[in-house]
Amino acid sequence: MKTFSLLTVLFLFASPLAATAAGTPQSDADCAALIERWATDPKVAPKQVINDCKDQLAQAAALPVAAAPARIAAVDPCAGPGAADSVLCWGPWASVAPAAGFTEDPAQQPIPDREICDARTEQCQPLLAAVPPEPPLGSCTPGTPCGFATVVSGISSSDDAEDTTFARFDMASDGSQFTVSPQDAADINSTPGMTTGVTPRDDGYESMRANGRVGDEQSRIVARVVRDDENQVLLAADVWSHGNRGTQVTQSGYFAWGTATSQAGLDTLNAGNVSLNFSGPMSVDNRTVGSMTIDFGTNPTWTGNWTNPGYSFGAGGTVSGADLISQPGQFTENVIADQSFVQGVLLGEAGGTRGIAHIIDVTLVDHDRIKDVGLLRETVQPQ
Amino acid sequence: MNTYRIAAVSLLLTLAGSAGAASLALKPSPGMNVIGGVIQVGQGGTVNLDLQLVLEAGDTLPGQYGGTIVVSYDASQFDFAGFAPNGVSYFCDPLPPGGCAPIVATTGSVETVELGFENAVNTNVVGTFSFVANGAIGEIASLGLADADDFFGTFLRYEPAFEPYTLDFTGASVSTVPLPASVWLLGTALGGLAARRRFRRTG
Repeated sequence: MKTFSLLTVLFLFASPLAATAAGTPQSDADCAALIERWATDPKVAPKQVINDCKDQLAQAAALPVAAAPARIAAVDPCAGPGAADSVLCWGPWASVAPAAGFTEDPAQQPIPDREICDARTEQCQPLLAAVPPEPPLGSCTPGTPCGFATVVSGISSSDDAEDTTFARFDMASDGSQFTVSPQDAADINSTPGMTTGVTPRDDGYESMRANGRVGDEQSRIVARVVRDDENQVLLAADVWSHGNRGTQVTQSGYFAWGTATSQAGLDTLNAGNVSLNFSGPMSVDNRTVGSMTIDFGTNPTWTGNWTNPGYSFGAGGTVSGADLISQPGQFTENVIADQSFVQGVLLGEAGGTRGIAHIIDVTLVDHDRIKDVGLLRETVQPQ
Repeated sequence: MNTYRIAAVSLLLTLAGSAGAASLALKPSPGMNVIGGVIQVGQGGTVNLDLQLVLEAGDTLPGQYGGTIVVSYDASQFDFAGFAPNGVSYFCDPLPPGGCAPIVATTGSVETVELGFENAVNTNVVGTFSFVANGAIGEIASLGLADADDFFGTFLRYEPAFEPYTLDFTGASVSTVPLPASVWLLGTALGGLAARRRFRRTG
């Protein structure tokens, strides 16, 4: 019995080796990869297998190639004779779980003018762009006003993270009106035509107070703002409140708002492979200082860190249009990544005032959950 | 040993009591006569009250503070005589014609002084109010202090970012007292001297 078991084990190990040694056909893609590895490491496969692969690729190259290069995933890798050895196919097990290799995502789009070419076959295939994750609070359209806010009950503007929700925020560029759109609740609209007053500050912003009252409805904004020459607000951040004196029901929170960078502006930044740095205090806990860097280019990315007397953490992610979205794998180790996200939007244009409005919803190891919103200003690095 | 324990507990209670919430209060200015927490002033005399901001324990700079207050009192007991700011700037919203300044308004028997200020940077005297006491002798009159907006509140910390700031407000009590007897004696003496001098010249 023991001898039989040993033989069975030996047979199981030997079978695939024997099949490979016998020159079992590979798929074209696997062959190409194998030959590439063999070029640097001759021990990676027997010479016979490599020769078979070369023959197979040579035959494939001799086949007529369509005028337009086919997308990798458009070719069924499981239809050919090498299907059994392809990482893209695993026969009857496909009903249990997908194969390990690439599978086509219909949402993926080819990146213009970017192709992967096989030097041996001279076949080129378009490089597929990774699909960016959907921003939790929705995307900001380049060139249009966009902002984020926290929402709590009462007038304090802040509460525990569990009692704080996020919302999209929009306001009139003269500060006379605002709308808060929570994720799962009705819009909060300020009273129309709030009166505004602006006074200077010593930190590069101005102070704007906007107050309105219609009957029992009362609204206000108290904000740091940056305005243009025509007194239109370009960037704004801090406190919003709205309530009813009759019912004594009030809601409040913090916000960060501006106009998302235009598509033309984004294109220019990407074409120039520009890096921009931003920094500033968060609003809910203004002891927290946020710093973010955006690296523009073909695949623009961002990184950031947030420092508070009680904690600090880092994050990174992708840039899609004007949107900044965190990637779970790019949080620092002290962040519970699957319970955390950062979303932001690049605001403003070159030659003007640029900033980032963003929200953080981060759970740290050994720390309470953090929900905050902040407006960061562009910082010029010393040359 | 017990004495030490009692002393230690007393010290802790004292420290706990001093680490209270932020406050804004009308405090008697230096030189005012105060007995039992009540300011003593002669009829027709001037009451000087410091508007004192005390920050919450742990609040540090940067942090500019400001908001709008209302001082209220019985119009028959006090006349508003002025406010001298101490390093703060006036804030008015909306800005009235002629610039920003304390606004005095009377509704029935109640008079109010509304004043917005900003750039208060620390535990400090924001400024000094002056009132003329017109109350009846022996009457204790009060000056109330409150936030100008009893719904949202107006007080904020400005830096590094705006943040609603909750304050406890405390007014002041003023007792109108008769002038001391020495003042009458001094007046009589001076009058007598003047009369005698006149008598000598004419006599």
